[in-house]
Amino acid sequence: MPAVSGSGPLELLVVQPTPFCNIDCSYCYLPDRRNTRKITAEILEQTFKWAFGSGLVREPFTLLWHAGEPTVLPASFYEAATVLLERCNDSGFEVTQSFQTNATLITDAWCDFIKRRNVHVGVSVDGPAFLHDRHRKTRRGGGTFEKTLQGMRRLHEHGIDFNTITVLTADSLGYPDELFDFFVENRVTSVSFNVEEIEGPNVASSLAVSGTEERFRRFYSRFLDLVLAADQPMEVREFNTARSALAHRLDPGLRTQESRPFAILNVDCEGNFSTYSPELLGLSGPRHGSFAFGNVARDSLKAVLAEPRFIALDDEIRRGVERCHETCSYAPFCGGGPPGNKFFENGDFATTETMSCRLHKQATFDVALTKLERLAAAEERIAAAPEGLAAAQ
Amino acid sequence: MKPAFAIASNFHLDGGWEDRLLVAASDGWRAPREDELAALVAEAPRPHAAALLFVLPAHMRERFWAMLGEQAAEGTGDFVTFAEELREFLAFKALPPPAESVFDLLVQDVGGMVDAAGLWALVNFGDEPLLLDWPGVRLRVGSGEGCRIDPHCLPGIMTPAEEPNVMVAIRQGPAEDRADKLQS
Repeated sequence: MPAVSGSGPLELLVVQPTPFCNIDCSYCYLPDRRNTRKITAEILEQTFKWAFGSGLVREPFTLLWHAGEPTVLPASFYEAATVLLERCNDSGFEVTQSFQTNATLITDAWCDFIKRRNVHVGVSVDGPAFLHDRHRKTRRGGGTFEKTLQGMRRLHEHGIDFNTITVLTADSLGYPDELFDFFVENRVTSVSFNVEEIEGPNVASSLAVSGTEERFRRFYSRFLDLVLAADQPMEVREFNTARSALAHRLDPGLRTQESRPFAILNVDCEGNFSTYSPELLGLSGPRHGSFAFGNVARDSLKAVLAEPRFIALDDEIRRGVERCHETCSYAPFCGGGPPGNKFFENGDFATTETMSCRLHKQATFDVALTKLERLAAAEERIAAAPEGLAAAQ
Repeated sequence: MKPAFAIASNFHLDGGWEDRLLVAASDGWRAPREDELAALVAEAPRPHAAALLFVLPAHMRERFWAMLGEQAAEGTGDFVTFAEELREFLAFKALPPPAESVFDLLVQDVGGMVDAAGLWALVNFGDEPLLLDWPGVRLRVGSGEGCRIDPHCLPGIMTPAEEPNVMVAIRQGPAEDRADKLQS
């Protein structure tokens, strides 16, 4: 049984202000995105008090408003939530707030709040309209690109930097140049790629077909080549992650944020909470039952950690991580595959490789390695023959 | 012989065929009717029997003009490197130029002629559309767009009306030339 001291420290608190999303992406994993419930001030206060009273807060952490479109609620709601957060935070550690948004509802009032409270913003955008609108649609089937672009422009007008998350589908893999142009044209300097995953209600992925890995590697390689050749810097999360992993090989005994109990705390708008991969909240498995382990109004961390079904799940996840380290040469660098992907793809947490691993971890790592080697080789050439190069120029 | 027109796989072009194609009429040229479009345009790309339209990314068009600027200013414009980047881009898009193909930078003045012999593709780097001419049908190739051409159905390249045409011609190399002659 993991002791409270063996859980956490809390790195990411994901709070669902509402399950509702104003758009209807074809690959969305949220099961309840038509539901317009909202978190109450009472539940929010219980959430913050639960987190700070749990013993999990032992370092600064991020509060991410997500799992529904957070900007469906007005900025004034988050202003009040911020005041509440500050009141409840008796830890002495800083809490950084972050929004993952489709940006379609960003207004000047939102921008004022974001700037004033120094909130981090991530925009979900899948590239130019012909790619974005294939999957990121309204409930009537229309595209959402124009409104997302308006939101991004409004953020820029207010001097707000943001990063983007782009979901790669089979459609996207033929268009690295077009994606690169889109980011440059719209002054996006920090990009992340997710792959279309098999999770929850999204039971099939366009990427789960023969030949995807090769296409993905070619896509990612070309995109990185464009980034590395560009005049303006562009951060690519997956490249940075790979570089960091090379520098910090992980001990097999260590578990990643997603596989360590309560490093992530996910709370839905009714106060139900889970941990591990955020996608698990609100879902259940035939063998595991609900992945919500308690409610912030009534269940203490200590009680949850002592529950047999939590102990069984934690053991299953631990065995999965151990098997990753036993069987996968990438494990020392990724720390073991995300439990959510293992469950949704393999039906069991005590398993290893998934499509998500092959694309988002292995391929990005391999490709990044070739770019680093090429960069290093180029630097060595220049250092070895500066006069020759100068003469050639 | 009229080609089947199509957008190459892995490319997205804005605008419809009715804005790109012109058909011969008794008093000049006009936009095609729906039935004519259906006859001219292939629903899916047919790699060996089509005039395949494609478009270059903005960063590559910018690189082209930067290269010309460097050439004009200091004589250092590197067309060979640019041509290799263009070849790599088209290869990534599953539209690889023939192995021994030759890339030519062409500027066609008003009244000037372009030899279409051996053409595999043309890329329009000018601001104005490039007009390709087949018997009874013409194709506007917009700025930044290119057209892979069926070597058995070569078009004429219309002389520009005002501004010079600026284009890169990709021609089949000697090996392909010989093969074509043998086939014909």
